[in-house]
Amino acid sequence: MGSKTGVYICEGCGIGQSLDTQALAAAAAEFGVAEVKTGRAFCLEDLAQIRRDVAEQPLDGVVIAACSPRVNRDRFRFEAEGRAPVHVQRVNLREQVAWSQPAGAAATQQMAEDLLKMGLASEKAAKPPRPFTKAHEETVLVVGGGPAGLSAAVSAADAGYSVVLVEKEAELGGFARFLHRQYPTMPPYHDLEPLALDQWIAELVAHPRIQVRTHARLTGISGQPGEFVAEIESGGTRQEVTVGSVVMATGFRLAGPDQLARYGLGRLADVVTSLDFERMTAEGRIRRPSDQEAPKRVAIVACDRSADRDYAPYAGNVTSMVSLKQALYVRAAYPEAQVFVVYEDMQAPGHHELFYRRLQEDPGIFFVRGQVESVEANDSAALTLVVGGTVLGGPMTLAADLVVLGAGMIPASTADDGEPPLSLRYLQGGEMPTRPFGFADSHFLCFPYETRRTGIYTAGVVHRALDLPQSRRDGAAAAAKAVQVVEQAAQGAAVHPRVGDLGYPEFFMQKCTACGRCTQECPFGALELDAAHHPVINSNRCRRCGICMGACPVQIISFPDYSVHALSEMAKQVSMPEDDEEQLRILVFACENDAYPAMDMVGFNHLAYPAAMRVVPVRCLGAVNSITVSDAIASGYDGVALLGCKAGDDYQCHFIQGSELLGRRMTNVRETLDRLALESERVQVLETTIADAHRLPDVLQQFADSIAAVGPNPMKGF
Amino acid sequence: MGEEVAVVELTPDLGFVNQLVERAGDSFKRCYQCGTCSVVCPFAAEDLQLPRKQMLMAQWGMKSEMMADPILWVCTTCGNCARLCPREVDIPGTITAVREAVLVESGISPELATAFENTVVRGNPLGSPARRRADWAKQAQVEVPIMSTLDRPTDVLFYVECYWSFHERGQQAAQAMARTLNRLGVDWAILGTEERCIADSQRAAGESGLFEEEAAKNIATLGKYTFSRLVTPDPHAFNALKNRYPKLGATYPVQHYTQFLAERLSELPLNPIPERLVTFHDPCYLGRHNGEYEAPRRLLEAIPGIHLTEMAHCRADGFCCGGGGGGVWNSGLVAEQVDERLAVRRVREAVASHAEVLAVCCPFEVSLFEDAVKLTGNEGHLVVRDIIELLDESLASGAAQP
Repeated sequence: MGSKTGVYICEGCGIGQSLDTQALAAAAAEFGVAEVKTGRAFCLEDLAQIRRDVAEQPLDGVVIAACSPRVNRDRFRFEAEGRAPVHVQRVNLREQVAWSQPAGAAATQQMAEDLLKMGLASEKAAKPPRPFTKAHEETVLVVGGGPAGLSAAVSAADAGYSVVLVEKEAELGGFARFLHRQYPTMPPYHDLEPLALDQWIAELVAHPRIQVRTHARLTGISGQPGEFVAEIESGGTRQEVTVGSVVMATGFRLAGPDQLARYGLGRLADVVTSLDFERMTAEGRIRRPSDQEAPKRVAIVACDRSADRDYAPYAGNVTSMVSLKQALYVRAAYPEAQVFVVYEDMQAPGHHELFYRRLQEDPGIFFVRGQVESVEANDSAALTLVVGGTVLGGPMTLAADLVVLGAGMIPASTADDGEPPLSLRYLQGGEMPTRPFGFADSHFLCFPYETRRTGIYTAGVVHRALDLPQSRRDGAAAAAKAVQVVEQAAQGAAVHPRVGDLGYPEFFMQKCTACGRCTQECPFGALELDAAHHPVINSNRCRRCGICMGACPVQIISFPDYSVHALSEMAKQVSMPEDDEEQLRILVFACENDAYPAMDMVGFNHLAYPAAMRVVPVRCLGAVNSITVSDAIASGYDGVALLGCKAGDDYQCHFIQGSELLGRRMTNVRETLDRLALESERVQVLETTIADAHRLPDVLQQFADSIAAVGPNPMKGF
Repeated sequence: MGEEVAVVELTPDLGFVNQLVERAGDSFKRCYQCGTCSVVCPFAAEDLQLPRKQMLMAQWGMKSEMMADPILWVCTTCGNCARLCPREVDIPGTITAVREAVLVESGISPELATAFENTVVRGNPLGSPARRRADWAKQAQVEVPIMSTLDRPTDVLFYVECYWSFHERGQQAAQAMARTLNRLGVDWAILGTEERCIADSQRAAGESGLFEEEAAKNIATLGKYTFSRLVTPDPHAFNALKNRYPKLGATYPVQHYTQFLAERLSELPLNPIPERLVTFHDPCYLGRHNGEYEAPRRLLEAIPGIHLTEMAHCRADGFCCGGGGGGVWNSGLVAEQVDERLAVRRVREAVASHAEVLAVCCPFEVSLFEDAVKLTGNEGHLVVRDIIELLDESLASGAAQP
């Protein structure tokens, strides 16, 4: 970093008992820093010393060798008026050394010294960020006027932001327009409730900050958070609107004959979907479509056969609850009629259980758990359902006048025989990247509402099956994310998970080979190509994961405070004992999202990990360039462990596929090692999660043992 | 392989559903087929889908299917299912209601029919002559007072019930009980030949009519005498006297004999007996159905020389002996439907606990378990003893010493 750096070595929390801090201070002094101090508690009474030095020296960089960078972040933030924020580099002496290595041992002291030098090297390599602050637009665009979209628009507008809502139909309300009643939302969870759709729409239309465009279509989105350009087509004309962020509340398509043919839908007139039935009920005429007779026996099929795993995710508890609700429609219309509910997995979450019980107690409603294998017309002008898999053994038949299918909701996230709902003008394509089954989400547990297009958030059924109250809440939550991103964009700061990070990738363009790999590997589509086929960054789309930096074959991509160069400089600081088979050196690149916290947990629990290891936090395993790994082996490390998140369909990676991309790169690294007649086992990718922290010491020990078995790196000393 | 399975038509029979609701309440309507009952059922290992299947059939009123399925009669109404049912379905009550509703039409096994007939004709399911009901008292070595001859109020009316009256092993227990009551100086008497079966197990097996007829006779007999409390060794009789008779207008203070004796532990001059490891089998109708788990254990623990150990299934999770709900009379039918009788499974569990003595306090259990001990080749490893026999041994060993 800059000219003046202060180093503060803390002795609190057991560090002082474990390490010779004066020796560490002496090592730091060799780096030519402006100030080196030790103190008993830099997070408490000694904090004033750092503040004083920052103001008086003045310092532009501070290295704090104390606890994990994951704690006391607010405390160690130093700002002086009229100056850029002071760069803070943390060195983890507490969790990773004092709490997980034997106190007073020479190896422990050596590890601490190495980590301190690595921190100093990283600090030295860092440059101040130059945030992009030119994208100021704060308007929120909401796509879709169903329950989630209406709620998102009103929430964002209530928060003080202008909103443009685009609805493709002539009327607002989405599928909610066709619903007769909703299942109970409040105690005693007994009776059906009317919908408040009219009220929701009135509230929206009356809002001074909301512009509504019905019968309108979004034909293109380009730009980035704070300056998206949305092209809206309405009545034959196209208009461009600049917006700050987007809420995608495009809802769902109801499953139809394509998905439900096995139940006779489309082939038998008296087999209808739950939506058809909802409309019949709303119109006050529940009749058999074939002969307009009032049905005496209605079979409601929850369509949740476990045999149809590819379809089941669209059903879920909403379909279960709709099936229950519609059973009551029949009973209310025809008190003498009987309703048969066939289900595989009845899901009545929370208090809905009370509603389910109430239906079970109804003398005219009969439940059977099983799978409908076929539906056929029978001789007596009715339908016969064959139900298999019941507890009664062989197949059962069930006669009904009308069959209602609890059809699942397929997310309207991608093009359905036409234009994609958002028409993204991104290099990586026009469609929103989706999770399995088409849900537009990047990880619905860890980062709800986030998509793989920064600044575009999903709400409602487009990202998972939800009912009305859930969709309303979901819309409000997505609006909060949409508002957050415009605020961050205006300052040029990142959103989840590196919230507030101001730096973004810079390209040393003279050396770019125009291979385009960075633009393909960026999980968020932040990079576009210019006319010369060179990458151009939309910095507000960037989440600062560094996957581009890891991808670049010529290493021209760097962040101001994070680069391939900085990682190599750090690796070089580690002491490399030669001619000593007992003292190996293993470099561990640990993903800061899961693996590094897991390492901290090892410390919290006072477990141990091998003393040969030196841990370097990385933003994502995907940010590790293959050259960094092969350089480490070339410079004498006996092994390199890449500790990161689970890859694959059920990935845990905060940046979608960082660990997967790295896995591919490592294949190349291993091939290189083999060519050099070095053992490829020296480099391994290890998956972990925070929940697995207790197993981590064993995993790391096994890796260290495997390196010991291979023996010291023959390149050592060259 | 390739077995033709008859296709059953699911058609609700509301009339039959309503019959069951009248008899057992509508709790079975709430069953949601989770299957908890079938995995905690003592017959779980047999994969009979009991009683989950019966609950579904009850919901749809599938009378003919239930009549055709002998599994209906396998249930012992032990109640472990109801204890854990998340929907709080009265499963034993529902099974009993179905049995009641189909009994006449479906017919029952000859064994069960004989037990019912014997109860009607001789006042006991064993078919022993009613006049010999008090014969056990002759070998009791103490005087056994009889209400009709005593002609005065007593503190305790001891309701001996059929198995202690007529079964050889039961009689031994009854004699031990008589000695114990005398040692305590209790003012007690029995009904003698006037006593008839309480018939609670016949009720659970579907014969509610028989139960009510017997109850009417018993209530009339009991009405002739004055006593402070009823004490009985039979948990089924205890259950009926405590929970069913009040509904028929007859309320008595009633105790199981273990409860009565546990209250008087300090007055019992218990003496050391040879050291042995004992395990205790909770009777379903004393434990799960009536919540008494402590009294029998307190008695056992008080006997010097006895070390109590528990089996894998104990207390609320106790494993049925197979005798309840008519099972004691239906061994032929049950044997056709299951691989291994419950008493056999239970004895294996007792052996696994390393106990030398399996202590019981329900009259059905002694004979069921003793048969099972022989069947499993555990003679010499495990003996079955009623708690009263162990108490009597302890009291007697003191008497033998000068």
